[in-house]
Amino acid sequence: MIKHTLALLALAAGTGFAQAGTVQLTVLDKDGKPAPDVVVLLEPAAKAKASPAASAVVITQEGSRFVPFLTVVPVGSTLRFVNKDDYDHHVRSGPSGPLGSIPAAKSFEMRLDAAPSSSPGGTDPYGNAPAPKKKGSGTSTGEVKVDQAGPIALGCHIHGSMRGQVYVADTPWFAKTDANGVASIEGVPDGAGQLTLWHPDQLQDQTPVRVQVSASPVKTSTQLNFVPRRRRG
Amino acid sequence: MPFKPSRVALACGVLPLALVCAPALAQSSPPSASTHSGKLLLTGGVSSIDGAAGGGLTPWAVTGGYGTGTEFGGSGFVTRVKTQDFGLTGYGVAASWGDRVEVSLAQQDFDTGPVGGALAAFLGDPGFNGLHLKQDIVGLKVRVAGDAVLDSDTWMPQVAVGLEYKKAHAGHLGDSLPALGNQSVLQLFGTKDSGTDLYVSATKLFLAQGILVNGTLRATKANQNGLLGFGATGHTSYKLMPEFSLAYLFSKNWVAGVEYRAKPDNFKDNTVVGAGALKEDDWADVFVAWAPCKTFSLTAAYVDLGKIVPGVVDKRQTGFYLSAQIAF
Amino acid sequence: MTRILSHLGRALLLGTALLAGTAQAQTAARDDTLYQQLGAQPGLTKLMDDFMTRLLADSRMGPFFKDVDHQHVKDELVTQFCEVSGGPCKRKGPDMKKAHSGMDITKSNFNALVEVLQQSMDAQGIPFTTQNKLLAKLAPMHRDIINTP
Repeated sequence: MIKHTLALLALAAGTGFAQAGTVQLTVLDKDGKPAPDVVVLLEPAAKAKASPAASAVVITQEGSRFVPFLTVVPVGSTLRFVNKDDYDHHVRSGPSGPLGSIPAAKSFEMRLDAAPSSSPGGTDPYGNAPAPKKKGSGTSTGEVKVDQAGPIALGCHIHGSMRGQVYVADTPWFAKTDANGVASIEGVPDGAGQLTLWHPDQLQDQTPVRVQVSASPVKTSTQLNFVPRRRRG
Repeated sequence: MPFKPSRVALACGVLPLALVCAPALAQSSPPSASTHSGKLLLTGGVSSIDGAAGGGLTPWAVTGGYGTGTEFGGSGFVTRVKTQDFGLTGYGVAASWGDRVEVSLAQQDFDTGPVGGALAAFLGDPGFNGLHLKQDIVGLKVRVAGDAVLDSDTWMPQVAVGLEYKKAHAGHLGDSLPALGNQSVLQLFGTKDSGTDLYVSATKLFLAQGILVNGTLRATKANQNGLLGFGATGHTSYKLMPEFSLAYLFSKNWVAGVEYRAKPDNFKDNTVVGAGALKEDDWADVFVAWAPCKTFSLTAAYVDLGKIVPGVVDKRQTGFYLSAQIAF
Repeated sequence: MTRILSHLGRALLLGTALLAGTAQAQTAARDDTLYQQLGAQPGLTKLMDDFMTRLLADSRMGPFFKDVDHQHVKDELVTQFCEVSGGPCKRKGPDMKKAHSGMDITKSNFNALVEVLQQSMDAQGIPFTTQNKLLAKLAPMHRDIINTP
């Protein structure tokens, strides 16, 4: 029994991620309420280059919304936009920041047809009927490779109020906060590290959070310097 | 509401100046004891909103003031523009040497009306209510060819090249957002605080017909003439904008015409505050100018500035333009 | 004999008139509307009388004109204006350049003269559009008259 446990411990110690820990960060807004959709980036003392995601990261358009609203990917990854609505969308990149002062890390636009399995004759919330098939781009899926770090705002030429956000991270350790304002990052190297936060609506940079990573999970919390606007839906 | 004081101020300014013309207005038999000024009446145009001589909205190839040859000329102006939701006051001086070189200095004060209020709500800082955006403009113009009036037997216009260096003063954010320190509210939108417009103008007075035509090509990054900064996120290069003026001389003292000025619309990609929230429209006006004598002229116009920050005020901005100029 | 001579004379006169007529017919695509609008010969004479008076009284122009033969200059001007406005005149004498080369004439001087001319035309009740048509014909002469920057 002890031999078994010792063996297990040795195994754990012997794996590549032996010197790695978990960091869990809870982000609250300035009023103390949980803040979802906050980008969290961790940089340990020994920085490392992010490697692209193994497969394309999917962002769908459903009900004239980008799902998910926020997508964080490592630099070099491919984004795949999939239109699931039964009407066209025209996805485009744009500047980020509450008043659009941060240039998009990557500029792109793509016309995406209504989803192929949809029944024709539907209308979108604005009463636009689906475009006749022959006028469309021929596809309801589009891909783009993001090879520069930074934020990219998402919009739609046809539906002006559609909003989304992409953040291209140049560190392998990143996450976004969930509905409860909680973000977890695993496999973080031991030692000192710094957490950088970013929210698309912030006017000023957030104060970074210093952590000390070890075998035992790190749990910490922080507060944003503002109260994000409630997002529709 | 702020209009009433300006009207009084203008009247106080205008009447004494009109009186200045009175001696020269007695045009019958006794010939006037003329000044040295060597240009024909109204051939210096009026003062444009940026300070250069020309139409009200656009610089022409003519130089301001009435000096010609080796003479100095000069002019000063005050202008008030008022539309439904916004107001602009401009004033400046210009000096010209011969009809070769013109230097101008102007300042603009733009009352942002509801946009200031929207910013105050957005930034949580009531200090932005009633925000005034100011701008200083230094202009230089050089005539390179032709004579707008005297080359009446050819199609050759008077041609000039010029520049307008503009510096906006938008007030910095340090008070409400300490981390942003010296950044101005314009920089929040991804624009710059200053920029230089470069232009070439060709002006011709078809003397026999009494028709004046001007075409200007302006390389600019300015948003709303610079009042909303220069360039925008992802749009930092110069754009070539055409501008036209067409005027008819009714008599020696009266001119009327139209102007049109295209605008770059650098914010077209910025949808964070709503698609097209910062869309910029072209400007146009219909004007009439009266110059009872060389020393004084008055210009009145009906302006259409299109929508200004339609995300806040989705209404076409039209209204009056009134400008008084003294010249020598 | 005298009758033959007078017949001959009349024939010659008629012939000359016809020749002059055809000559004029050839060159008159020459439109004399402006000339007529200016009052033809009497109108131009009256205009130049007034013009000369004003020039002499003008502080800028007086010096240029006080020592010249006023009547001669007036006659020259009438002929000149008659010609440019489409009237039946032909100016003889030195060209504009030569005529003015003896003086230093700046653009300011030229414009001042135009102003005085405008005042004269105003006093004669010549409409603004007519004035501009005449000025349009005279303005190109600035190239030969202005000889000093």
